Order: sequence, then structure tokens, then C-alpha cells
Amino acid sequence: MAELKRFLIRRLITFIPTLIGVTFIVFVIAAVIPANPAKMWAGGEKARPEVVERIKKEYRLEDDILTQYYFVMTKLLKNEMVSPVTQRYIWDDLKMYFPVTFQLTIIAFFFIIAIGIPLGIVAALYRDSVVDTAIRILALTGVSTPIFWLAYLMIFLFFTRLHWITLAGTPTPPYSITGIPLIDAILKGDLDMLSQILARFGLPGFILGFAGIGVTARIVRNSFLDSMSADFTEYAMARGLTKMRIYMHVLKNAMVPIVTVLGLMFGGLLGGAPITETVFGIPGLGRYMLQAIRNFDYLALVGSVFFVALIYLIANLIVDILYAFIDPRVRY
Amino acid sequence: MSIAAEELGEVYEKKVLDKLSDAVIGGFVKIAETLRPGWYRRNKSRVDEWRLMAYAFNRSPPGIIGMLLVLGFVLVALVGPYVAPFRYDTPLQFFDQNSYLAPPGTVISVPNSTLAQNFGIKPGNYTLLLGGDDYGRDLWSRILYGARTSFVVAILVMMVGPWIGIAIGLIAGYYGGKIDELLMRITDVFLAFPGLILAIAFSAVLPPRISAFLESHATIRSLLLTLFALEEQHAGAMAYLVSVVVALWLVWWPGYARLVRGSVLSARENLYVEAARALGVPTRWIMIRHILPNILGPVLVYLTLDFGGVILTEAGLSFLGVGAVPPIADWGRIVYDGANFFPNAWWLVFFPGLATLLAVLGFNLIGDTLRDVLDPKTRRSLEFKLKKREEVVEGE
Repeated sequence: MAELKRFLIRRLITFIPTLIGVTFIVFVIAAVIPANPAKMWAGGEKARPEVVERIKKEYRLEDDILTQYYFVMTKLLKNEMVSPVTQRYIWDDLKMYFPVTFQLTIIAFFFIIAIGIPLGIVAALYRDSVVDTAIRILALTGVSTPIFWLAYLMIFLFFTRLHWITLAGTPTPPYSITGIPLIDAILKGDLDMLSQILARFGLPGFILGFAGIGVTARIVRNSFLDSMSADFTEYAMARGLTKMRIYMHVLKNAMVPIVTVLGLMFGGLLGGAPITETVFGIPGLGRYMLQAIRNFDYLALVGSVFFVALIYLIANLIVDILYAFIDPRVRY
Repeated sequence: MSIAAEELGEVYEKKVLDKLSDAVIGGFVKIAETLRPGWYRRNKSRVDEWRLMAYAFNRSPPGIIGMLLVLGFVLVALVGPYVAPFRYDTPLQFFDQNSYLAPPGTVISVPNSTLAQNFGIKPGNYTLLLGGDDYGRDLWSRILYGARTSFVVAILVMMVGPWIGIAIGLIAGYYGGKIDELLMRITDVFLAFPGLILAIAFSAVLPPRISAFLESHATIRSLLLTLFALEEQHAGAMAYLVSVVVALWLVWWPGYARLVRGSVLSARENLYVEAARALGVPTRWIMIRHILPNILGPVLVYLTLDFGGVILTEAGLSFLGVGAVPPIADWGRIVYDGANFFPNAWWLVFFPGLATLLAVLGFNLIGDTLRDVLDPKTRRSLEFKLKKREEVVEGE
């Protein structure tokens, strides 16, 4: 365990330069390139000069870049930064929008695992057959489909025609345990709430995960085939183990690359899904960032990018820790 | 005929496609031979490998489908704007009210007027094959123009973005040490970003600057206008499109840097690199002439896949309203504008999306097939079968 602790500390230290780099780049893009953000915040061309002056002073827009950046970051982390556009605390906004995206990601991830892994195993077992080719083409179609197009087709089918889903509101239970409605509803065993959440988030989740299903199936297929041809599989066969037992061994050994890809995917999905959230009108992180960019609200943008990058890094870290549980040979 | 022939199965006979690819490779060899006598003798083994790759490709149905889709897309992108029945910005609503959100197959009539002449339309009846949008613009024409937009954006992005990454990867991998550490940390920073968000941020802030740049550089402006098949008065709208290109340059390199660095690390240990270094060959030359060609295989696969990826991303950006702006015909933008009338005017969403899907799928199918084709194992087994075949033929 001491090793794990040292490893964690070492890794957490490497987070710092990455986070500084990420936020600084966004800061430079969003704060320096556009001309005169204060004027836009104050209401555009018709803004009163004294208001513009006040905003400039309040947000220290006349300091040099590094001072400004330092000012923005410290204020953000202390939750003292108020967005000049929405007049709300940015950190509070993020706390409100993140659970929605998290919930969407969990559902997308559920579809990816529940469909992608079995498809990949089937493709590997029937290698080079028609089934394999079909799964391959399905996987490639998945990554080629414009999300917005698929979303509208599905809305047409499930909303306009079948009336199975809802497209407005975000179901929120009256109780809060983890702050994430989906998990809370499951913990409480509140089936009514759960069905409401699924009616609202099920389809967007599926569409968000659609591309990932194919990618996962391909990875599972390839790493399954790799470990099928390994020595231990031959040994297991020679010992006369049942097919099922052999496949369990194979799958366990194929897990390392699968977990890597799934971990990166989870981090990426959490980074917000602007397109899916826009089509379905879901108030999540992706749409929040999009809104911030449209309003030239770079403070909100820097805050959300910090948040997203942190989550991405944590997802990577969790994957690295998981390796040791999957593969006992891995040492930190 | 012997048993061997039966075992060889489909490889036994050369297909029509094989003859076609032989002809293409033969033509290339002839050109190379005229330019540099003796080229074929020196590069014979390389040409033989190309031939085998082509044969392997011809034996993959997904690859052939992908090739057809891509050829179709490129053809439409090249000639589409010239064969389109109407210009991308022709508001047919001025001539016939029926063209407003006209369903596919609506027939409209254009009377003789000066306005019609200005848009270069002859009076008469026209069928709107795929319907019309809320300005009465012909969707079919706009999809044809949209292919050009996607194609040019993708070409411009792929000509620069990945090569930044390749250069960074080469330098990091070859020099190693502190340079490697620094470059890879920068790459990590970009990888930790949500790529789409970064691209959105760039495309949102760049247009004023790009616009000013295009204003002052008339040659570049007119060149780009010709490439995108746009009218002079839409140069302002084009600035948004160019911003997307620049934005994608800035986000499309980190993956390549990682990939190339990894390959260079193993390639630079090869004896021929050491020999070149011992002979005093300049580093730049070693990297470009000896290392780069040997790691291009996986890079080529990614370049093909990413060509589709860029088309998809550009459509996504335009769908979010930060890419192409009206009246430019762009597949993502048509859906963005058409979504207001969904599901009544479903054709405004359905057809542009389908076009995007087909184009992107084509590149993905080719890329995926290339991955197999570039695997030496595939080629060796094919070579073995072909040799066997020759023996069988000679034995008869």
C-alpha cells in the first residue's frame, strides 16, 4: 500500500503543470484574442463607458496577462469569481451542471459496456465470418455517423411517432444523497423517479455512447483474439477445461487494453457532449461551455475547462490504479 | 489443375481490379522511369510491395465499398458546383412561393425576370429533387456545394495539422532527453483538453482576425473563394470557414505527435540509422529520409481515418453554429438551420446528414482496410499464394 501511496502522490504532482497549461491556453485564447470583452459584457456597442470602466477595474482587464491569469485562477479556486454575464458564482454553476452531464455519461457508458463488450466477444469467437464483418461495419458506421443526425432520426422515431420519451425538464428527486439524481433514485429504490430519468436521459445517453459501442467492440475483439493465441490458453485447453472457463481466463487477460480505452472514453464523455446536449436541450456542462464561448464569458470557460481537464486526469489515474487489480503483475 | 489450385480459392485468378491497379502502378513506374532513368531497377522491391498491397486491398469488400464512396465524394466535390441546377444562395422563393420548405420532388416555375437573369436561371419549370429550405433554396444544389465545402476544409486541415504533430513527434523521438520531455508535456496538455471545446473556442474568437487578414491579402482571398466555389460578396462569411480550418490545425496534431514519437523511438535503434549517423549524414536528412518513410504506415492509416474525422468535426462545429455561416452551403449548417422546421421539413435534416455519413464512412472503410493491407503478414501470405499460383500455371 505504501507503494500505491507514493505512486498517487507522484501522479497528483504531475497534474499541476497540465492543469496550469490547459487553463492558461484557454485563458489566452478566450481573453486575449477577442478585442475588448468588457464592452461585450456591459452590453455591446451601446454600453455606457462608466460601466465598461467599472468592469475593467473589477476584473483587472488592464493588468498584464500573467497577473490577470493569476487573479482569475485564485478567485476561481476560492469560489469568489462571479461570471460577468450570468452574475452567478462560476463554481456554483459547475456544481449544478456537472451532475447532469455525469448522469448522461453513466447511461452512455452503460450502453457502451452492455452492447460493445458482448459484440466484441462474438466477433472474436466467429472470427472472419459474416458476423465478424457485420460487427466491423457496424463499428465503422458508429464512428462515421454525425451525432446530430442520429439524434434527430431517433427523436423522430421515439418522440414524434411513438411518444416514448420526454424532451423537456430535468427530473430531480426531492431527496439528495450523492447529488446525482440517477444514483440517488437507484439507492432509494425509487422506480417512478428512475423511469422518469430514463425517459429523459436514456435516448441521449444511447446516442452519446453510439460511437463508443463500435470502438469498444473492436478493441474487445482484437485483445480477445490476442489472448486466445497465448500459451496459457493452450495450456487451459490441454488441461481439458470447459470452453466457458477458458473464455473467462481469456477475457480476464484481455482486460488491460479494454480498460485503458474505456477509461479514456469515460473521461472524454464527461468532458461534456455539446452536440447531444444541444439537440436534446439538456442543461449540462457541454452546453454551459458552449454558452460561455458564445457570450465571450472566458471566466466561466476557464473554470469549466479546469474542471473537465481535472476529471480527465482523474479518470486516467483510476485506470492506472485499476491495472493493478486486473493484472497482479503490475507494480507501481 | 491440381489440389493446390483449389486451395488457393479466390486468389487463383487475378481480378479486373487487379489489372486496373497493375495498370496504375505501371503508369506510375513509367513516369518515374522517364524522370529518373534507373528508378525502377533500384526500387523494384518497393513496387512489388505496392502491387501486393493493391491486390490485398482488392480482396477486401469493405475496402472497395469505401473506395467507391470516397471516389463519389471527391467527384461530387470537384464537379458538384458546376453541375448544380442552382447557385447555393439562390432564393427561389422570389420566383415561386411553393419553393418555401418545398418537400422533395416539388415542381416550381421560374418566370422571366431581371432577377432570374442576375442569378443565371433560365425561365421554365424545375423539379426540386430533394426539396427546398426556408429561403426556397434548392437542397440538392446546396448538398452538391456542401461536398465542396467539406472536401476543401478537410484537405486544408490535413495538409497542415497532422504534419505539425509529425514534426513534433519526430523531433521529440529523435533527440530524446529534455526536448522530448518538454514537447511531450505540451502534447499531454492538449490531449487533456476536450478537443471539440478547444476547436469551438478557437473558431469563436478567430473570425475577426481572419477576416482582417483576408481583407488585406487579395490573392489568398480569391484563391480560397475559388477553392470553396463561393461568390466574391461572400468573402466575409468565408472568414468563419477559414477560422474553422485554423482552429482544427491547432487541435489536430497531438495524436500524431504521440504516435510518431513512439514509432521513432523504435525506428532510431535500427542499424541503418546508426550507419547513416556514422557516415555523418545530417540529422535533418536522417529524420526525413531514413526514419520518416519507415514509420509512415500507421500514420497513413490515421491520415485516412482522420480525413473522415475532420469532415465529421467540421459538420459538428457548423451544427453548433460556430462554423460555416449562411449563405454558405455546409452540411452541418444546413441541419442547424433546418432543425427549426423539424420534423415537418425532415429533408433538411435527413439528406445533409446522410451525405456526411456516407462520405465519412468511405474514409473509415478505406482506413480500416489499409490497416490490414499495411500489415506485412497479410502481404506475405498473399505473395505465397501468388507464387504457388505461378507454379501451378507453369506445371500445366
